[in-house]
Amino acid sequence: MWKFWEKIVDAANKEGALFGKVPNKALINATDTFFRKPAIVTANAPHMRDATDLKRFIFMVVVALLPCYIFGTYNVGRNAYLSIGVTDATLMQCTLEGLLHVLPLVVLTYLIGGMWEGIFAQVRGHEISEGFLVTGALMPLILPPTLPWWQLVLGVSFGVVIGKEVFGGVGMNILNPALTGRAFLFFAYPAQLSGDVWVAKPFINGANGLEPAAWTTIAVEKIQAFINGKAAAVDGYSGATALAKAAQNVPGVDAIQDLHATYSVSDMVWGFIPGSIGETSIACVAFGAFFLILTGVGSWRTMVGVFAGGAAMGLLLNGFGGSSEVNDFFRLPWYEHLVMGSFAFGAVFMATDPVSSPFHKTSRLIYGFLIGALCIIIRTINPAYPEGMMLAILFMNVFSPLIDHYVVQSWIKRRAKR
Amino acid sequence: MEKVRIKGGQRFRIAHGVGENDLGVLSSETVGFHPSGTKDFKAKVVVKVGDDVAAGDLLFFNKKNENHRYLSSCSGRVKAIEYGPRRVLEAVVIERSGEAKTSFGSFSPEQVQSLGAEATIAHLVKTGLWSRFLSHPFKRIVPVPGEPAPKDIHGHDLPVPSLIRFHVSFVESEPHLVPTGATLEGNIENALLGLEVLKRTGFDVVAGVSSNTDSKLKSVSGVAYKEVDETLFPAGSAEVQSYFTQPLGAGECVACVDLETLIDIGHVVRTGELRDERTYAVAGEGASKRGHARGPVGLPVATLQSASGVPSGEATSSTDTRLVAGGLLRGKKIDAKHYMGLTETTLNILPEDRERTPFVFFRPGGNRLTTFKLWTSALMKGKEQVATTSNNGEHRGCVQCGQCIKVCPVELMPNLVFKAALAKDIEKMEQLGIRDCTDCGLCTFVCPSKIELGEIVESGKELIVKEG
Ligand code: SF4
Ligand code: SF4
Repeated sequence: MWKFWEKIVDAANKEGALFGKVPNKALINATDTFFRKPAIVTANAPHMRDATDLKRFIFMVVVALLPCYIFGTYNVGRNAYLSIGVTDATLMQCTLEGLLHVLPLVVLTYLIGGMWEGIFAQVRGHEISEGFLVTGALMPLILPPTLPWWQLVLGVSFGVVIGKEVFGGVGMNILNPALTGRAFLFFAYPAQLSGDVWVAKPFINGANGLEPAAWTTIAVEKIQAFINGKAAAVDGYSGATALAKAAQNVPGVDAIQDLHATYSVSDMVWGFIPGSIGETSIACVAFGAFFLILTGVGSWRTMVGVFAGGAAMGLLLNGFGGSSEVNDFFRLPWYEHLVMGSFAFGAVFMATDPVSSPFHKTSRLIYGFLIGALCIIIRTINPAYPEGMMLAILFMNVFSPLIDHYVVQSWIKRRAKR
Repeated sequence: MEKVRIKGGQRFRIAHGVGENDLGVLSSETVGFHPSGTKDFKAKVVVKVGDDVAAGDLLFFNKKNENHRYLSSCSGRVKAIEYGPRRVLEAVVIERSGEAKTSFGSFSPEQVQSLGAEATIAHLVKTGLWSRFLSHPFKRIVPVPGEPAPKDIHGHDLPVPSLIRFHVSFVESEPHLVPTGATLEGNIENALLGLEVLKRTGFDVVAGVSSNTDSKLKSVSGVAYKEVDETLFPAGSAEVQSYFTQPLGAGECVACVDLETLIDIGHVVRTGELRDERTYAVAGEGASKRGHARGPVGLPVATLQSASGVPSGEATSSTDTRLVAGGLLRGKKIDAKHYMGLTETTLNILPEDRERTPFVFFRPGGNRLTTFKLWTSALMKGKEQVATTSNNGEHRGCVQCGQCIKVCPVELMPNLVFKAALAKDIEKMEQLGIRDCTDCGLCTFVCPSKIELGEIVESGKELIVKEG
């Protein structure tokens, strides 16, 4: 089989075999080395090298994300059924339904992301970096299942091109590419991203088999209904995310009570609530965190920092909660902040991206802490952005070189004194 | 005895090491002498092809510094003088014959005790043994106290680092190197005398030992000892031991004395004659017989190769075997036609690994050699892993994974040092402690982006030497 593959590679490597005059070595080589270990040997001492390369690194992140994917898929299906009042859908049905929503997003993300990587590799003549494998895995998880496909295409393109390639590719980017893409969508298409209603309409209607519903239209209707302050629910099911509930500002309604009436903390921990595909289940995120820390791929310092920062700021704001000057969100118990929205997901999978975070141990703690605190501030003080995590991480991405700079400077000073 | 705790480093368990095997005594009609790539060494050969030389005769010295002398350790006739590209001396080849010897005068242990510092240093220079003391940092031959400063291209004096102390390590922690026990066998008296001679130079002497070191070597008065864990690479390196002894100030250096050189010193002082013996070893996946052996100084690589059971012709012609003089992390590639250096005594025979394993990042990887916990091999602590020459990936940009910081034995941030070196920013490099780098190669080994950190850091150091 590899003989045949080699023939293809050789043929394609002939000058201009694929796209006429354009040499396509980078593209072919990338595909080839993706499937097989490259034949490169060490040039000099050290004569041996660690077995780990970036591909393995990134593969580990993808493994860590699997529970989020599996549960997220099920949950999308489950909530889609709930939204039409079907409460007895089986595990299988929910998962199948979820797959119909999630799979196209994943496939599309990889196609578009891979295309951009390929184009840049081709034009610049460098290798295709494996970075987009993880960006591509993360991207759908932080998006609502109701996202129109054309918006996904725009978001992924923005994330890969502006978030990474304009900086010079892997290792050079300042911002997390997946979050950059999401931020773009958030500001360009607030209706779909604001987190109010993120429940897809089922394709498969009830037990009657495949009966595609025009789910995007229905979702838009629901959003409009929600914005107009009307209950958008079918059979009392609102579909609003927990964050949207807590941030609502309806006179006479206690947002926190309303939140608790809809979702219990345990719902939020297990994840049976609407939200972005991958973020809802804290249990699955915890598995990912455990795996990342165990393998050393994700920095536990960053994660601990984020949770500590979030808890501290949550507590502080709780202190102001009694005042009538502030909105209801201030009274949200601090620990609920940590299980709501993408806080946990962001802490474990987004903040730990090594490229856009600081490299030093101490800096990572500081960086994490600031992300956590900032996220809670953005959420509460400005309920127009109930999803503070994305902005907090992107903001700290920008400052991570600065944190490193100060930490290293103090290291240099201490060292000079010994 | 002070125990040194090293936070970085790496415990290797690599298959196909030297092991315990004794391959006996090797001999060769011809031997070769060369400066083994010593930096700033421009050889001036003083013998001609056909000359008869006695053991102890000068073969060549450094044009830039006449104190750097290489003597023949056997008698015979000069068979060939081989130069490589850019007229770098590759070997003065001698066909061994006769027993002619130059005597440098023998000293009893009591006489050694009454030697003055200057006389001791002069004796070491005369016998060519001083030329084997390499400085840390920068790996130059240690300047003889009081010698004139070298000039740069404009004729200005270059700064001369001042020697602070001597470092000897009785511990070998690098995988696939001749075990110190084998080298010291029968040589302990010489090594002890060597330590006495070093002390007579007036400089401090620091010795690295482990729990397995012979107790006689651990109790020399006036020698400061550092106990290290020999299973941790590179705890056995004198440079690392120096870092944990006392950090170096600007313009200071230490002299690292190799074990064979220490024994040579003891031998030449005791008998008045140069020692013509080395403890060699062969290791590596490509060697069918592995172990250590005794043989003359300057042994042809081919002799060691055939002792390992690999027909010398075969490996020479094959591009798929790599010969390395030294260990897996710090060794140098060597040609089968060449000769082992004065202090390079291990030959590693490694098959080049160009195997194109499919879906390698998908596999559990029970036998993969790694410092990360990303393969199942990380769970099998006792299992030996196979070292191959594969690069295990392609070059990428630094992703700030921080692994190089974790393993650096001297607590540097190699990711920053290499960037400063790339930018040729000398001030930054100095601030980041580039002088402490021990060239252990661990940062290069671990980097998942396959960045040649060691090579780049080395270029930074060379820049510092040049710019002064
Ligand atoms: S910088 Fe690299 S080569 Fe130098 S001591 Fe640290 S790990 Fe070893
Ligand atoms: S090991 Fe390589 S990729 Fe990781 S921080 Fe060091 S230089 Fe960067």
